[in-house]
Amino acid sequence: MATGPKVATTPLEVLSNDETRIPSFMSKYWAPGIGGGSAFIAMLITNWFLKKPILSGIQAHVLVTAGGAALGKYIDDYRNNYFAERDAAFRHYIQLHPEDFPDFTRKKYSEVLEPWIPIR
Amino acid sequence: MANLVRIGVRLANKSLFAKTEVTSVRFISGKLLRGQDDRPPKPAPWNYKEKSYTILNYWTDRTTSRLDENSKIVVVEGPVAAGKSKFAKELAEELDMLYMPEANLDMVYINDYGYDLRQLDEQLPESCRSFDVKDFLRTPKHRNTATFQLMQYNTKYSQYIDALAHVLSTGQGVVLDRCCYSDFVFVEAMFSQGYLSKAAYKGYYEVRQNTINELLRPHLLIYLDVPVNKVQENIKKRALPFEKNTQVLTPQYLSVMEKNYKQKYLKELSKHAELLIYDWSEGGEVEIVVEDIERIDFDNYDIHDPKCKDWRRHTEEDWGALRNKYADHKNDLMNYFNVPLHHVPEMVIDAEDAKVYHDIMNNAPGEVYQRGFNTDMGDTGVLFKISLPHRDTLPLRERNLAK
Repeated sequence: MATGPKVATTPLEVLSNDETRIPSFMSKYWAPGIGGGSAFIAMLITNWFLKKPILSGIQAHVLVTAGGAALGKYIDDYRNNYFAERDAAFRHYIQLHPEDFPDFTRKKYSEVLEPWIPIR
Repeated sequence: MANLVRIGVRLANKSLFAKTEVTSVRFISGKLLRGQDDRPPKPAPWNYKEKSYTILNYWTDRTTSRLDENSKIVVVEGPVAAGKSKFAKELAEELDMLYMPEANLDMVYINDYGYDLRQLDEQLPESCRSFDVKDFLRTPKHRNTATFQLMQYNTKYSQYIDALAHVLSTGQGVVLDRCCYSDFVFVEAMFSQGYLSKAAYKGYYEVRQNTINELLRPHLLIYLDVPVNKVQENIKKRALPFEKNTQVLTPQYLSVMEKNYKQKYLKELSKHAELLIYDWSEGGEVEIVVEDIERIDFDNYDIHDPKCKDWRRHTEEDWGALRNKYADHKNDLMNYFNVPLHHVPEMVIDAEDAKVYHDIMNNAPGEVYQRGFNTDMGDTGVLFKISLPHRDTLPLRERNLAK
């Protein structure tokens, strides 16, 4: 039977990786892919505007594409680090102030929803 | 911005701004006077056609180091069939200068691969077809006459920029056969005979005003004077196929040309350039002209004297900036031709015609890609080639007189 990700019982668990979700192939490569791809297309367009065959000066295409991919990777890494650092700060805060973050208590919907009284 | 850079350079390298006077040891000298190899050594000519000369090069490559007494712009002017090109060629030979043949549309219509774009005329709508001197002489009242005259001016202007770049980059003088300054003479003649409309006439002068002040006027003007009846005789004698049966070269047309040459052009330009006028109705000796040129002193003018004023520059950096302008920024100068002439009906091409024109021209042999990138025309190594042609230098191509 398929099981979903574990339901968090404490606020700390919400912010920590329980290793049940594996990052997809795409999530690893999309940023360098988009960076490199758009750099390559930009080179083709540049050549077209300069009235050159679109693939002429292919060494420049290769270099610029690699540069674009590296830039994409750098931006993606920067973003990941940013969020990791933010989550770490939250976790630390929660550890320092456990009284403000009690464990979750499971509720039924009947406790959440208010009684509905139709009024015309 | 450019001025900020100039100020920065001024602070960094004072010697670029020290007063430099280009004074020649002697006047322009012909072959005989010059003798063999008695000139002080000069740096090798700068290949301005392939290499750029930027603000960084001012520091190491001094423009004045190549300039000497023969680094001059000489323009040969005169009516039709006066013998200008033969004279100019011999003069250039005598003075060790570069001869530039009269700007003509063969320089434009034949592309870098030697393909003549006029071959495509049959596929083009009438408003977009090529129109050359020969067509003008055959059908002077054609709608393309105005465009043709502007193209003539454009080509002469382009050639004059090349001449300036040549003088400043190599130090070799240039002898031009007619130049962009005198082109209006033809416009006046055409207008007087009704070949140009009033709007086109005005439009031409708008373009001229917008462009002409970017250049340095010539040092020396040589006018070969031939009276109108003698001009007609000469035309008959040389019997060019397209000049024989023309209705254009009438005494009226030629005399308007002569009048404008003498009373407007020579009068105006001789305020700046030294002027030599010869009666050339029976031809003459180049040696005698060379002797006259050798006597002209181009250096000792008063500070307020308008003569050769364009060429009196006082700092090395000034010379460098000029050389950079004409050698590297020809395209920017040519952009001054973008004067909207929508009020001249014969110069406006409608969109459908323009579409046909561009579709055909962009697929003509050698026109698909930039020079050097057309594999079908025999260019090689295109896959790894990056650099575009450095400069659009007009070819030194004589007009084809046969057809």
